[in-house]
Amino acid sequence: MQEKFVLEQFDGESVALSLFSDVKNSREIRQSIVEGNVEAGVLTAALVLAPLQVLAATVKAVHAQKNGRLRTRNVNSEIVYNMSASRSIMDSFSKFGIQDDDEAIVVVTLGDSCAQIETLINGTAVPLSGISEFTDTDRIKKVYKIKDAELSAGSLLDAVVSRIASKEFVSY
Amino acid sequence: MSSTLGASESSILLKQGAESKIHAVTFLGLPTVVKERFPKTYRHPALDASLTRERMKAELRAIAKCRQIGVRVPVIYFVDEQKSSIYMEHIQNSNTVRDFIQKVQAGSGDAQRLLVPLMAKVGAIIGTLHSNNLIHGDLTTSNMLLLEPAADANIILIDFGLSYVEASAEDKGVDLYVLERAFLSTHPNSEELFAHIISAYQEANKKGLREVMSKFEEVRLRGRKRSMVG
Ligand SMILES: Nc1ncnc2c1ncn2[C@@H]1O[C@H](COP(=O)(O)OP(=O)(O)O)[C@@H](O)[C@H]1O
Ligand SMILES: [Mg+2]
Repeated sequence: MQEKFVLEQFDGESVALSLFSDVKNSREIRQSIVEGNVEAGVLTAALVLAPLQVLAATVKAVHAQKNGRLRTRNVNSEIVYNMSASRSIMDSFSKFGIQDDDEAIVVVTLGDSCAQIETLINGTAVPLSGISEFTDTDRIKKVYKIKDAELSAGSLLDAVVSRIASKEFVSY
Repeated sequence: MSSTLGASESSILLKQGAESKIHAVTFLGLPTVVKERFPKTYRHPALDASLTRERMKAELRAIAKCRQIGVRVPVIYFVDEQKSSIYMEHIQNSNTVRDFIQKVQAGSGDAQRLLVPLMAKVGAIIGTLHSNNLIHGDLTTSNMLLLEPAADANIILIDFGLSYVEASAEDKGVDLYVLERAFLSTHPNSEELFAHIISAYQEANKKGLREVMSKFEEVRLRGRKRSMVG
């Protein structure tokens, strides 16, 4: 149930996104991440609006890794950090990373590191195209600080992607 | 399922300016332009690097602020800091306002009637910027993209490398003056058209308007004196 994308800019490196619902062991998954045993970025599905948002965060992470400019532990944690418009690492993780009571999550894997995380998840794989069912738009507006005036100049996704891309330069 | 993302190999040079190049690429599967600022050889390298960075930062900040106040700008997709490059939405099916005005003025057609509402829109947008204390710094009709169909007067503002936040009437007056100079030299004998920009501006920026307008007059006068002397 993965959706694969090829990052042509980076020698054809690929990224896979998958969505899980009815996840029963988010606490355990989060523990494994903290212990460094998970080679994936694992996100709260409620704050995921569209694949483009996650891909914008992923491209930044891969680019930072290639240039030796990661701000967090590894490229996977960097994806989680990049999802946020905030420059606080703690704040980004606690909002966009998997939470203990999450029932829906989005898993981002780079290259071929996919298989191992999927066996850890006790939940149901669902098509990524169904993401909007799990998206909490009000929370997205709140977390990214998006007011109505901004939505007259473009979509919510436009606002989110622009924030992710320029977070090092703009304070929100 | 697999789709190819990232900037494609085929990139087309759209514009080559004095300080930047604009390439058209595909990025994350989307039509994108890359605005790359490059060093100017006559400047000191260290100074140049920091100036280039400041311009890119100013551009990103102003674009963010515009979006927040409801002024249409390109979506930002990615920033390559080392290459001083901004990847942004390619506004397709558009002309610069400059090209549009020139095309209309060269013809004798019916399109003339579109210019007044278009100028009103331009004035309203600048008024919105100024009422939020955002100074564009390089207002010209080349830095405004007009979406097709032109009758809808959908304008997207670009080129914010000289932008900054400032409340003073003087800076707003100068911003208007820069536009007037650029406008009248690109579009000769268009004083009347420019007046429509100013009147729409006055509707959209009531806050401290009198001071802004008197500063505008003042800079104009200074400009005229200077050109008589020089
Ligand atoms: N996002 C965009 N979409 C479409 N065309 C663009 C975009 N950005 C720039 N351009 C084109 O490139 C030209 C130069 O870009 P600009 O940002 O104004 O740089 P410069 O500082 O060189 O003037 C514009 O006048 C416009 O024709
Ligand atoms: Mg320009």
